[in-house]
Amino acid sequence: MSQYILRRLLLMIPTLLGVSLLVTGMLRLMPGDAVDIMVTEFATSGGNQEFRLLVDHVLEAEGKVAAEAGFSERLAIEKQIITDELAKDGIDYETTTVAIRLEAKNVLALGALKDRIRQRLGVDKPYIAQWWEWVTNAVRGDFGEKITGGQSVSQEMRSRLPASFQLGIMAMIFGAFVAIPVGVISAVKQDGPLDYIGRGGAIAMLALPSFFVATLVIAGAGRWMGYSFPIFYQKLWEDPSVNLQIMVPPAIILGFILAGTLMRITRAQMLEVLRQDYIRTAQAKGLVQRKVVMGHAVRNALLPVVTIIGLQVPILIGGSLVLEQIFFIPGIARYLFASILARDFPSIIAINMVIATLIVFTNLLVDILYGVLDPRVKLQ
Amino acid sequence: MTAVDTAISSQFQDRQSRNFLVRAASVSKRFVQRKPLGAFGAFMLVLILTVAIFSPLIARDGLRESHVGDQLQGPSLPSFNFGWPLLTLGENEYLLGTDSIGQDLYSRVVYGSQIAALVGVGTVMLVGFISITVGMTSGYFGGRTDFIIQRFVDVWLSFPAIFLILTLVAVLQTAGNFGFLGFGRGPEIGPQPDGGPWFWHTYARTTIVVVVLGVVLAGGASRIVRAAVLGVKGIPYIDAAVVIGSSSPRILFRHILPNIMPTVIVLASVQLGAAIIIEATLSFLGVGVTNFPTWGQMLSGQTRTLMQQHMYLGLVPGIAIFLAVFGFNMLGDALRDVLDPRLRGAGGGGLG
Repeated sequence: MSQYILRRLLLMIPTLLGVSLLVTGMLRLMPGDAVDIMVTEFATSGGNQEFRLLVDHVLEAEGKVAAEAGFSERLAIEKQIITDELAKDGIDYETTTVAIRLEAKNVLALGALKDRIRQRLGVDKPYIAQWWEWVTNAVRGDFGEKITGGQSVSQEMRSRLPASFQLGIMAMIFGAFVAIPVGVISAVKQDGPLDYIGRGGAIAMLALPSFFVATLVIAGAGRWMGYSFPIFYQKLWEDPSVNLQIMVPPAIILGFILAGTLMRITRAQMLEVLRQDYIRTAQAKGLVQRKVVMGHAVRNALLPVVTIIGLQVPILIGGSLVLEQIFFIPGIARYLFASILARDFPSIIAINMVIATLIVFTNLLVDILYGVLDPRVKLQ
Repeated sequence: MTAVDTAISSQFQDRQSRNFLVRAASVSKRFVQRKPLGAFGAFMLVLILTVAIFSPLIARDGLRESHVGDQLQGPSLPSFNFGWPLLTLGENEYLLGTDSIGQDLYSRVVYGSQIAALVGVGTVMLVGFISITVGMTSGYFGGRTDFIIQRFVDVWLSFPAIFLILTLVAVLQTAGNFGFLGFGRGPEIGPQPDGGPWFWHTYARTTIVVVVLGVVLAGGASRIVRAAVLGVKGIPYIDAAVVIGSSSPRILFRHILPNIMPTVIVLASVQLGAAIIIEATLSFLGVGVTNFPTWGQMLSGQTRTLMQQHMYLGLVPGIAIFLAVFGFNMLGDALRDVLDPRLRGAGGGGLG
């Protein structure tokens, strides 16, 4: 057993290294200079901000405090910078139009932004060196800084993980509470009306897109109950009422998605167990059907079901993406989406890496749990 | 060949083809009787493909045509009259209503089926190709090849599908803006708003979505194909083929491939639903195909705020997605029971 775990842990190392190669390599998928692309993506919003930083830089070089500088002082420096830039092309500042000055200002701002991003990403080095640096930093829990400024990636991630975990755990519990009884009833009453309703419902659950259900729930609550969901997230231990108002509906929706698969597996397992000889023996010795089902069948059928719940973690995380978006939950999936829209590559890489690690570890845990719960399974 | 020979052979062919038709008819009749929901799924597949192909003819309005003054008209039932056409709608009546800028929802659903069908079918074909290649190589050759390939598949499967898809789509679209899959002109710059009632002008974005979905979903599928290959490999006729000296490609394509086809077909019908749901999710989030009406897009943006007063705005595209995916899942279930009972319990979907 311990040998098996050790072997699996060793196998995990190449997998995780491969994952990190893949996610960091995504930056390299793009033709041309990645930084050029990223800069153009938010040049429209970032230009002025970046130019201000440039002026700050000159002020600090002159030994002044940037925040205390007056407006006219800044303006003079701005003019000086643009004059210098235009002089490089042999153009006199006084003869130019406003449009050309603005253009020069933009070019300067973009150049400064690019330099800053290059420095931060370290993309001037060869890929493998970059990758290795990233891995060694990541092992120490340092995922770099967000491109958009503010907190570091690991700080941001730490502040967002609790909400995601809460949503995931609530959904899992809810899903299991719905799926297992329905699956058991469906199997016991095989081919009866209850079975058809249960199975049809399970497949319907799989076919309903979660964003559709979520928008329906919000619109329906507003229309028929005059209720609107709170949009400002509160932590569970700070304001449980607001937190639960936000969290319970998406947890139920996500739970139903999980329940679809889980119910089908529970049913299949129950059907298999119900055909076993020891069930017939139990029935033959005159046990009440309820006792046969609850005592003999369910306990044996649930072993694999428990482990399957663990394997649903990827679905759980993936499903939470849309729901966090719709219900304004500041979780990890919403962070990923925001990072993707902002083309914030350090964050995208770090989130994918953390989630992948989580999934790889859950898979191992599930396999071990399976071996512990079911002695017939030989782990090798 | 004499005239008599030709007559005989043509008669023979005729009988053979008639036999085939009769058999196909009886098989499909039995399928409809035993698996009514599966037949419903098959019907949905045919319906969506037909509507997609003929959408400019079926749609009431042109693409992006809007009726000024008829904004937010609710759905109305057509009135029945004796004579032709049997069902008629008034001048200002719309079967499924209109949206906030006066576009007919029925037409938009019809146009949206182009993207759903294209992404669904394209993804399934790509997934089939990749997963068969990877799964057969890994399963048939076994040993070290298998071990190494499976480690790559491990990496593949370590991400939630939607995360990887979203990331790849975003990266490729950024790249595409600089001339990559758009062949020199970016999809944001290239497509004209009046590019006609067909999806052609969305090719850059659609290609990105199809390629990413195909590559990402193929990981899990290749595991199932591999398992099926391992199952077939143990059957003695493969040993017999090896003994008589058949080459590996011959064994793979003549003996193994036909025998794993049932698994592949079942897998395909489940992934058709998954692909459509993921495409809708991407469109809903605003990162999929954005320059053509799609079902997911119809549910996003203003619709969400307007839905409180006008429920049908969300119900129409939502039910379209639901019916399509539900149908494909049922078709997959029915096909599995008929073709490959071993796969029971391996449900797809749940990805959106």
